Amino acid sequence: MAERIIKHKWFWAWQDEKEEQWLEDMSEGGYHLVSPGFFGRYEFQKGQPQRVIYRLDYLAQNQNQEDYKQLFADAGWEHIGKFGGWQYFRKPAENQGESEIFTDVSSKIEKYRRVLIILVILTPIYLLPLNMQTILGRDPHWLMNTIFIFWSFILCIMSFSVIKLIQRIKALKNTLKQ
Amino acid sequence: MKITPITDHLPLSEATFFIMLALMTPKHGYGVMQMVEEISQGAVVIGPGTLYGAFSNLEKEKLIEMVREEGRRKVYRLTQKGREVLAAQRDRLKLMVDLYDEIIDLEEDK
Repeated sequence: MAERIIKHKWFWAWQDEKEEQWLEDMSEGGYHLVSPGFFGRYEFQKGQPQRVIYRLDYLAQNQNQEDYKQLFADAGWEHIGKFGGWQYFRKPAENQGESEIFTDVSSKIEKYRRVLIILVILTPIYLLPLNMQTILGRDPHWLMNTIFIFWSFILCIMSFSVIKLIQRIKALKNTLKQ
Repeated sequence: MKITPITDHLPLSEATFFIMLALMTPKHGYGVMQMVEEISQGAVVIGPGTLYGAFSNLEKEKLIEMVREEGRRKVYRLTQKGREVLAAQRDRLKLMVDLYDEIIDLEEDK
């Protein structure tokens, strides 16, 4: 039985390229991804060190993905798994052919837009506990306060993610104008 | 039903132009990728992420339509409207090339 290890690491929505790089480094060290990060939990299998390209896509709808996966498979990309809308693909680096799943800037922008839309749609859910604070009055229970502080933190991260993603999209748009 | 004018779809990106050109005859996604690479002699390569997005957009805009499924692969082809958009893009490109040649010729005659 080959050795399996679990690693915990958290990447935010705008850090997809950093995550790809980390997975590539792991493969080069002989640890190959088996199942991708369920809330930052990654399972790896020990094997031969190999140069592998990892790429992440984002799908907003979880409709039937059979044709989607088939297309990537035809192009030489193995679908490892998904976390939420994030789709994890890899292919050996020595294989001939294209090493990117997005070959123009506009389709890359569309990927970040899909992530952004989901984040914005979720915003009311994250705002809900803030309303609870006002509903419960001026002197709520300490537990409510703790939840409130925790949730404010989540909300900050969400807003920061949105800003970061907009910046990324803007930077990509600028390269289009050249 | 609202009908978007042909010009609203222009200009087509390089990838979209080649994808639509390949879909003059029915093909599945990977068939399009292969054909584009072949006819452009490797100059234009389309990744699966880019292609999948383009297919969804073109289908939404009714410029391509699915004709059948082959196992897990969906086969698409250009619609009549798609043909018109592609032809309009061709005319635009032709105009640009013609104008270029005209101006360059004038310069060289000087």
